Parts: sequence; structure tokens; C-alpha cells
Amino acid sequence: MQQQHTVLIVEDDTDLLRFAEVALGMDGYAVQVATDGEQAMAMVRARRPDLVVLDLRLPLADGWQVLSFLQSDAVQPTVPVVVLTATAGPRERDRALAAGVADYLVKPVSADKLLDAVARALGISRPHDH
Amino acid sequence: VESVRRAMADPIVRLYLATAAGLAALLVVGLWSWSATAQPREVLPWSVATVEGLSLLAGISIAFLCLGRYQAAREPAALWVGVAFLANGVLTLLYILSWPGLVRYGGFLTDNPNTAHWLYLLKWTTLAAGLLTAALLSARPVGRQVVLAVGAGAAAVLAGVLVILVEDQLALVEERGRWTSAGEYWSWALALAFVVGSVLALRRYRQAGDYLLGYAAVAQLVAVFIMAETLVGAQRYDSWWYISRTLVIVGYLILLVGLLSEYVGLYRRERDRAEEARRALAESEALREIAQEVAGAGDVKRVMELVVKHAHNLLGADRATLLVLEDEQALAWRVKEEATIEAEPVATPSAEVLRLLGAPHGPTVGDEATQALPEPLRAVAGADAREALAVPVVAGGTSYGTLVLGYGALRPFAAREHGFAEALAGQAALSLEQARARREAAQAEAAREADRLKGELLATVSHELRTPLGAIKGHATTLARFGTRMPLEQQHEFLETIDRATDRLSELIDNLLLLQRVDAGGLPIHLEPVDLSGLVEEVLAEVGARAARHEIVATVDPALPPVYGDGLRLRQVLLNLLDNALKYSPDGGAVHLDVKGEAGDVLVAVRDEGLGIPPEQLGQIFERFHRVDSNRTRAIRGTGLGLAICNAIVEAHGGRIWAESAGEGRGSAFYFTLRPWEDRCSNSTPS
Repeated sequence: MQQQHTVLIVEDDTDLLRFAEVALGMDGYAVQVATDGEQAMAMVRARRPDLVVLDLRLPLADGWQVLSFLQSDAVQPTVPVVVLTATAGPRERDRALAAGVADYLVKPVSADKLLDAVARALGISRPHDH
Repeated sequence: VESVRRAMADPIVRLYLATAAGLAALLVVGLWSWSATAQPREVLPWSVATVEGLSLLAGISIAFLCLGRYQAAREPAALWVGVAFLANGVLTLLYILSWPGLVRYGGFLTDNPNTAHWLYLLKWTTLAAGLLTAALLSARPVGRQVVLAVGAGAAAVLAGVLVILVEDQLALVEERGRWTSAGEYWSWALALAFVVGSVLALRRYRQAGDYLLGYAAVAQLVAVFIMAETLVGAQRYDSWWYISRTLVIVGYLILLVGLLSEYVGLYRRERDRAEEARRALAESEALREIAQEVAGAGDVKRVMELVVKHAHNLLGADRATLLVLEDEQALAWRVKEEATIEAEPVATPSAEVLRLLGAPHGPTVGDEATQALPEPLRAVAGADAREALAVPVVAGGTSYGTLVLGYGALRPFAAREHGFAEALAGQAALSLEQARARREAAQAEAAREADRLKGELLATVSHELRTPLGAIKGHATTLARFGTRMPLEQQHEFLETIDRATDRLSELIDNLLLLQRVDAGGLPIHLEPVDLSGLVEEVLAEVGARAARHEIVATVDPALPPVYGDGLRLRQVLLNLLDNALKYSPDGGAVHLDVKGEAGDVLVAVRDEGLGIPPEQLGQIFERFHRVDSNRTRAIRGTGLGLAICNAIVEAHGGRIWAESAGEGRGSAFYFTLRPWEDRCSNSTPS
């Protein structure tokens, strides 16, 4: 069995959080969840995940703040980020890509697409279906 | 011929010719009737005293007018004429004092009649020389002429004194009432000097317009006639002698009256000029005040008031009206009672008025033009206006209106006044042009802002739609991919989530469509009497099932009349507010629904003991997609449209909706008002 990767999902909408959590869990990842920006940063500090799935509109600290935290010196080595947002504007997309996120997914997104993006960001071949 | 006609139009030239003609006629009559009148008459000493006294008085007056006030002696002619008459006056005095039997028997200064005759000829010589010099030197600058004139005058007076002192050595100029040949030559020389002086003075007057020389020319003509007594061989105390002495007075008076009339004219011109200057100053002050207002805050109302006020006061109009065209509506600014200035719309402005105000046109002035003024503008000028001034209010090729001044009486307009009216109208136009530019800029800015808001709204709507869609797609695809491996309960949970998200999406779309209808011109509502207590019961039955952890307390005043409203919409408002009350009090507690009468209205209140609203957000919660964002509220689902819809529905009923909260965690209260059924019947239906 491959080494298990830990993925942190940061999402304030409970429905979306639930689907991502189940889908990634089914695909063999160890899943952590956070529902606001500050909680997310606290969790990264406590136990570094291998990847973060990040929403941009978040309470307390928004996705951009979390992103800049993840790319600061406080987090070494850098944790790859896959943005999962309902914000479809090209400006936000360009800004996020310029900030170095691995992928920018706009809701609605299928389980396959999310899993593909996560696997690609982690640089692993897709785990096979069980 | 033309120059002769022009010269004939001159009043002094006319006087000159009339005098010449009169004197010539007198000469002819005198020569013809001479034999009958050539006997010496009775000696009338008082006549000499009168003639010489009056000529002394007139001479001194002329001298004073020439040398005294207004410093007329700055003109060479006035200097010489003044000095000549002054010296002549002194010599006249000596003459009077030396006339035998006039002041004292045998004379006051001398008892030698020959001395008096010398003084008589000397004073005429002084006058002739002075007036001749005045005509000759008037073209030259004054300069040293002052010294020369004063010296000449003094010399003449000295000569008079000398005559008295050396009287024994003087040649005889008169003998037995007639001039000797020496006296005759002297008289002839004087007559010649006066003729030359008269012609020169008249010519100079025609050339330079020096009226003093003009009158002097006439006076010298009279003097020629006086000297002509030699020609007819008149002797003392005969008719001719009396006539010529009387003419002396006429000569002096011509000059004196001429001078005085010129002085009166001068005074009037001065006064007019001062008045003109005062008006010009007031006008420029008024324009400065308006220009300052135009350049400053650009308060159009103030500028219009000032323009009307100054036009009314400084142009002395009985009616001053500023007709201004704004968005096809004509406004009339005019002076009201107690000098206040107000604008009032011109009731149904005729096409004619709009055309006149809209198209640049020339100024209209004068009685005839007033008659020709188009009827609507004439009415503005005043039904009884006999004279009007209408000036277009134009700036940058665009006409903004017309300034109309009406006068009850005919009135000539000075070019300056016309210019002032145009300047006033120009300032008004400038102010209106600026206001229009500002309005257009504000409209453009509002359009940009509306575009920006529309873009923002679209982005928000897209975000709000994508969230439930994301839930549906995510759950469905997860089920499709991993369904076989998922426990049955989890599969069930996922399907339920899809179902809920679909409802959420559908509700969101319904609400968006509803608000779109509000934006497109008002929510359609069907008004009928609505019994609120029945409505409350229905709503409670629907909500009650969801309120497991809450206690809903409804109090409806049984005496309340039915309200005027749309039952279905009001139900929506009550449901929304109750749902919110339940949703935002996750820890349970009481929810109060009160319906009671207040100040003639029906007041509905929904109060909870939940999360509350921060005070700074109380005003924003009725905006679309605004949600109170906090740790506790983020788990609560909402579209952010419910309160916006409540607001739209209540407003469509003509009511008011608002929220109160003591702060976060301390509950919130929502209120809205409705009008009772009877009240609505007596009022106009809501829009």
C-alpha cells in the first residue's frame, strides 16, 4: 500500500465539506477538516498536511489569508494548495495561480475532478479504484 | 453748401447772423431817420449810471466765470477774455468816477471831461485787444500766456491811472459833444479791431468748438455797432447815443447769458456723468457678485435670484422675469411680494415659448419691438407693458431661456444698459451651463456605479448558485463513483443532501425572479381585505412543526380590523421572519409574534432571543445577499434574499419594515406596519 497522504479541507459550507471529506476518504486519503480560516491555520501549525483543499470565501480569515500563511516561511516546506471555490471571476483565478496554487477548481465540481486535481498536486498516480 | 448748412445748424452761428442782421437793420433805420433824431435830448445822468453800472456788474461777472470756478482759465480763450473783462471793469469804474456830475459835481477823480472820454476809449481798447488776443492765441497752450495776460491787464489799468495823472497833457478826443478827428480815428480803429476780432473768434469757435469765443464773436459784433456812432456822426445825448449805450448792455448780456447757459449745461453733463458712473459702478458690482457666485459653489438658485434682483433694481423694470428652460419645462423666476424672488413653473408652456427659449435669438428692445414681441413673451413682460427688453440667455451656442423686462412707460435704453442686461443673461446662462455639465457628469457617474453594482450582483448571484450546485454535483458524483462501497445510511444521507440542495437552489431562483420583478417596476400585489389573525394561524401551523426547540408565542389583538393587502405575499413575509427567528436562535428560546394597532397602523412584531444583529449592520440586513457574518451564523444556511424580499413586499403595501437588536447574542426584533382596510379606502391606492 502506498504511503497515506493527509489532506486538509477548508470549507465553510457543510454540504460541500461533507462530499469532499467522503470522496477523499474513499480514495484513500487521511482527511482533516476546518470550517474557517483561523481553524485551518491552527491545524496546519499543529500537524502539517500534505495538501490543502481551500475555499476562498471563509469566515474569520478568508482563503487569501490562509494562502499567504501557507506560503510564508512559517510553513516549510511549502504545502501544495488546490483552490475549490464558487468564485468564477478570472481576476481571482489569475491572482490565485500567480500566488502559486496547484489548481483552481470552480464549483460545481465532480468527485473525479477533485480527486484528479489532488493527485496531480501531490505528484502521485491516481490510486486505483478498490 | 453742405458746410454752410452745417454751420447754419449751429445755435451760436444763428445768433451771430441774427445779431448782424438786426444791427444792420438798426443801422439802416438809424441812417434814414437820422435828420429827425439828430437833436440833442435832455441829459439823463441816471442813464449813464445805469448803463455803466450794469456793464461793470456784467463785466465782473464774466471775468469771474472765466477765471473763477472750474478753472476755466486753463483754456487760453477764457484766460484772455477774463483778464480783458476784469481790466475793462476797473477802467469802467475809473470812467464812472471821472464822469463829471455822475458821482460828484465836476467828477470824482477829475473835473476834466476829456479825461473821462480818454478812459471811455481806453476801456473799449482794452476789451477789443483782449478779445482779439483771445481769438488769436486760443490754439496755443496756456503756459506763459498767464503771465502775459496778467501783465497786459495790469498795463491797461496802469494806463487808466496814468490818463488821470497826466490829463493836462492829453490831446482832445471830444469837443462840444462830438469826437474830434483823433477820437474818430480811435473809434474807427476800435470798430475795425472788433470786426476782425469777431470774425476770428467765430472762425475759431467753428474750428475748435470753444463756445466762449462764439459768444465773444456776437458781443464784438454789437461792439462794432456801438463804435459806429462815429460813422453816423452822432453826438452826445441824441437818440443814437442812447441807443448805442443801451446796446452795450445787450452785448455784455449776450456774453454773460451765453456763459451761464454753458455753465448750466456743464453742470448737467457733470451730474449725468456722475450718475452714469454710479450706475456703472453698481452694475459692475452686481456682475462681480454674480460672477463670484457662478465661479464658486455654483448654486443655480442663488444665481437666478441675483440676476432677477439686479435686472429688476438696476434696470428699473416694473416686471423682471427670467424664463429658463429645463428638461422641456419652463421655469419663471420673478420678483414676488416683499422683494423675494421665486421660481414657478410656467403652466403648460406653449410650443411657441419653448421654441423661443430653446433657440438662440437676438435681443428685443423698444416700443415697436414690444408690439412685435411674440404673445407669450409679451404676457411675461406684463399685459400693460408699453416697453420691453428681451435678452436671450445663451452660452456656448445653447439657449437656456430669456430675460424679459417689462416697463409700464416708454423708456429709452442706453447702450450700457443693454449691455448690462446681456451680461446678466450671460451669467445666468453660464451658471445653467455649468449646472447641466454637473448634472450630466453625475448621471454618467451614476450609470457607471449602476453598471458596477450590476456586475457585483451578477458575481454574487453566480457564487450563490454555484454553492448548492457544487453540493449536488459533488454528492451525486461521489455516489456514482463510490456508492457501492458506501454504507447504506451514508448513501441515504447523500441523497437527502442532494434533495435539500435542489430545494435551496430552486428557492434561490424563485427569490431572484421575485426581486427581478420588483426591479422591473414593482411587485404585482393583489389588494384585498386580509384577516391577519387567520393568516397568523396558518403560518403558525406551518412553522410550528419545525420549531421543536422553540416556544412560539403569538398575540393578535382581536379588535384589529382587517388590513388592506395581498394575503399570499403577507404570508411570505410572516414565514420569512418566523423562519429567520427560528434559524438565528439555534439555542432555542421564545419567539414572540405580536400583531396590534399603533398610531392608526397595524404593527406586526417578530422577536427572538437568538444571536442578534450587530448595531452597525441593522441598516444593511435588508440589502440583497447581505448576511450577518459571525462564528455562530456561518453554519446557518440562507440565501441572503429573504429580508430583501420582505422589504420589497412591505414597501409595495406602502408600509415600513425595520429591525432592532440589543447587539450580538441578545436577540433581534423585526417590525413592519400595514394600513387598516378602512384607512386605505379613503386614500389613493398604493403604487
